[in-house]
Amino acid sequence: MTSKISYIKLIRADIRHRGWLAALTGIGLFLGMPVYAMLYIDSWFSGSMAMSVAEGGSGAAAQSREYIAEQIRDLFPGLLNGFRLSYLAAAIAVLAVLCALTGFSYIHSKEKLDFYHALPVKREKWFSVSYLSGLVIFLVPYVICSALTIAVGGAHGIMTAQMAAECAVAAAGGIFAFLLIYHTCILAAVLTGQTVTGLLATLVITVYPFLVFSLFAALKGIFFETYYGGMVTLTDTLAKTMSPAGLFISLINSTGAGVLSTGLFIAAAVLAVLLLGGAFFLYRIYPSEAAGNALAFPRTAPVFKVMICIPAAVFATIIAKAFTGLSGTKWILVLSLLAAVILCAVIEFIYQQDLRMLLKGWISSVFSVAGVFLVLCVFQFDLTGYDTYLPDQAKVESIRFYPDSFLGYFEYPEDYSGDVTENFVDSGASDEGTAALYRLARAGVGNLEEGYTPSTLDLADVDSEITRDYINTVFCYKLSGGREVYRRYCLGREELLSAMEELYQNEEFRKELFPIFHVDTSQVDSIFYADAYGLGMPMEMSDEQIQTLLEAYKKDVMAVDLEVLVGNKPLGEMFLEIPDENAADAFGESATVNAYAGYGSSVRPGMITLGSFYIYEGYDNTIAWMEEYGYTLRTEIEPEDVQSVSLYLSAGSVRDGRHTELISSLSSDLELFAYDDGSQDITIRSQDDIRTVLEHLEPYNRGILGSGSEMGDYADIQFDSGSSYYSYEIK
Amino acid sequence: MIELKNVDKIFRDIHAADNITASIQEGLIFGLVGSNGAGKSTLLRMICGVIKPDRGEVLADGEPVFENPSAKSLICFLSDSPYYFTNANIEEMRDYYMTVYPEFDRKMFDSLVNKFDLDPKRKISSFSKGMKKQVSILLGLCAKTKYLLCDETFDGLDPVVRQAVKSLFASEIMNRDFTPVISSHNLRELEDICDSVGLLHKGKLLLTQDLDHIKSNICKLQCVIPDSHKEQELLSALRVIKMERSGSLLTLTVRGGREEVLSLAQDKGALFAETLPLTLEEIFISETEVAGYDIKDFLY
Repeated sequence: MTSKISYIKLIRADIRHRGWLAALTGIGLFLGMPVYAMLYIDSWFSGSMAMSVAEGGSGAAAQSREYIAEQIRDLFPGLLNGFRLSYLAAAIAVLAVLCALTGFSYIHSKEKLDFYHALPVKREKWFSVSYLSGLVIFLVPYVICSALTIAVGGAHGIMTAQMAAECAVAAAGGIFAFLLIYHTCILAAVLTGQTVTGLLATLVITVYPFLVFSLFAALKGIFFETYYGGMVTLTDTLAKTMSPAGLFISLINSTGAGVLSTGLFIAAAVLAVLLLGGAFFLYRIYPSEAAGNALAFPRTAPVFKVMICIPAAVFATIIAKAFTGLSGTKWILVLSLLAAVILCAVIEFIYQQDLRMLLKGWISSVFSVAGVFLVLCVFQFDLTGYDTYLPDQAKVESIRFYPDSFLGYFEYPEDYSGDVTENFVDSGASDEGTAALYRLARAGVGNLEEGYTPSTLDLADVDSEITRDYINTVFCYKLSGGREVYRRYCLGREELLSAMEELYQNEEFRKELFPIFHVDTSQVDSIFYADAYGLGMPMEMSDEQIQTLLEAYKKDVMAVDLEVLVGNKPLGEMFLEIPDENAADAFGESATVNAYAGYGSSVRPGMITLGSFYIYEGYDNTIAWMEEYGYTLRTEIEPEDVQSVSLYLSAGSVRDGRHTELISSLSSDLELFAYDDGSQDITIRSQDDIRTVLEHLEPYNRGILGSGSEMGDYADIQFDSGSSYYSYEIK
Repeated sequence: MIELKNVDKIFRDIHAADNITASIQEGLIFGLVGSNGAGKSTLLRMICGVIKPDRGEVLADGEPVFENPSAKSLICFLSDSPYYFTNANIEEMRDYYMTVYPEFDRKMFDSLVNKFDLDPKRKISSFSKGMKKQVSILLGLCAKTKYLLCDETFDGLDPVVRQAVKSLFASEIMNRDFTPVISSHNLRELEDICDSVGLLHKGKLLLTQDLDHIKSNICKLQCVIPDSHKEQELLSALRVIKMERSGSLLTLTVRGGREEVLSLAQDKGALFAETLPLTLEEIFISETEVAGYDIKDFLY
């Protein structure tokens, strides 16, 4: 008899009963996808966006329809899953919740549950019917709207085969993102006995792994002095791949940018299957009498309470700390314990829905509060010895390091990979180098114990002793098991210099150090150079000439003394234009845009421009080659070439009269703007004054280990041919 | 036949069904009576497979019911608060029942809807409570399942409809293999319609018997016996459930046939003796009183 009850009929009936949701989904997606795509494309072609591109772009190409079409092609996949329209991404999440709740909330109602579960249909079948109905309600309009959106692109002549494939990937990303939230909400529904608690459970399951793993990193950052958070750790990966929220965002971002990330899809598929499997299993054993209760399985209540309360209490405190601007860590414990007590009461109220019963689950409350206390004690008192950790030297395979001063000095291709640790400098694969860095790390631990910590240096005044004499440096220990451990130490400038001098003897280390050896020179498309003027000037060269120049440059950098890099000012700098291997990063914005924006150069899609290929006095091979081809590095700025010079003087400088002599030597024909805080902007346009001022300016360069002091006062120069992108130090 | 074998169910700290063993014979109307919170609804929900017993098993025609569609297809459950789809009318509910109960008698249903003067196009949500119950009964009846479980279904029906439904039940029993199980507080109603009764109290099934058998095995004896020794002998000889004395008049609720009890009283030299039949309500009160549920507890 039961075999006659058709799946199809039940699904059709279910969809009919949820007709309002089907209508809402259809209308919402239609407006958010093809209609929005039409408006979006139209605004590019005829609206202000097109104008702005034309104005900001590079001449005729930017104004052409094909140029705009190319821009739209980059952005178009994001229109299919909400990457370019956050409302659509939110709509996908909301629809997933609605599809799940309208399909499964009947188990929260005694009347509905009596009706459905008394019918001669197995629970497995009910689950499948509700699940598939919800899926159909979303998928059919979504797929249709995706096809319509692609058709809109095609009608505007921007669709190519590759773009269609990217759109398909984006739509698949949207579907997987939907499935993650849909399955999460179904699981939450079968864990609970009320729709309200089901919604709360959805929120908890969606963000819980993200919260726990992120909290782990956040606590280390707050409590541990030597913690370095720049690398992608296991907890970061777990936070992203184990939480529906993290995966939802990653999928939308990645596929919306047209990137097919197989790993993300696999992670999403695995998580979606696990969530659905869990939901299916729990649905089969769902106690019908649970309808109306907060939780379907009351025995899990204390477990959930402890699991939620501990991270949520600490997280709430950290958020409160961030918003109130509290410094230090001493209040974190007190506030977290208070938050734990409040959260226990709130959770118990959700369970019991009776204020008089708040103490009913007092044992789990005690466990929760004790858990918070224990966790924070581990961090507060560094019970694991995190800060003083130094791996056993015998177990250290190699050490990489990266002083903060490198950040403004060198630029590596790896800087654009998204993983900043890729540009860490290796010790040169020598035992001596590793030993030198190990000693340096030990010195860092010693400094820490004496109170010289990275955070002290970060927060120190510009003119303080610690700022002058110390540099924060990140270390990466690669242990024999392949594990990498990162620590950040505050090192004395002399300690660091001494270690680097030792390392510098090793040729391999120098190759690690200089960015030119990180560049595949055969990929270099063009070269610009800048001298004292700080204007990017192209060097017209054949591919062969480029290789010759770069080989000459390599010879020079391998021969230069470390002291030169530390103490001398470069004569000039080269910029290499290379293909962007990470054309679209996780946020969908090409790294090219960032790189070019920094130098004020025109945008060339798919390319990045690397600077910091300094040319010092003594780089004879490079300088000779350049001069042979007519590219002479100017070390002095001709006043005639300068339109104006702007001096920016800090309040302290004005107060101390550091540049009084220079300012008083200028004519009165200058524009001075004094700010309320005492700082001043002075713009000089007179040729005589410009001549005087130029004698006191030189391009700002802190050297490989920093200058020992931050740039306080500086100057900008406006040339007839454009603005220098250097800032100039006022001597 | 529906069989309950050592069925046990506990909700947190409430023992809703306490080791119940009983059987519901085919072709009879079974009444389930019990005090408030006795576990009547829980028992019905276990019989129809909505709730899984913690222990024991429920069988319908020899097959376990829980998660067994073939056994569940023999049973239709009418909840005390029937559920209808949002904005559904009678026709839509009929169509749905036709989907899940392939034996559903559409012709009979349409005819009954017409006879009960229910508008098949009108939204059920706009019906009165009694009309909703009527729809529920008609849907259940026309599902043509062997067993129809009615949880307080008769409450809220007006006397005419109630009588009509009773007639329909009787007609169905005559015409096909049909066994209704009715739970109700209205013991007089059950007395009229039921063939056998199960009496639930605090999750325990105090008795389950044929109604005539119950009635023939319990009666009220009023007598005056001047000799106190003889009176004591009578009390010892009888299975007394309840005893009241007013002056020299002794009123006893006792187990046993009326003639047998009267004969015993007369043998003890009663000046006056008569036996009276008990209503189902009186039986319910007496039995539950024995189980510790005394009406006087509410009054004094």
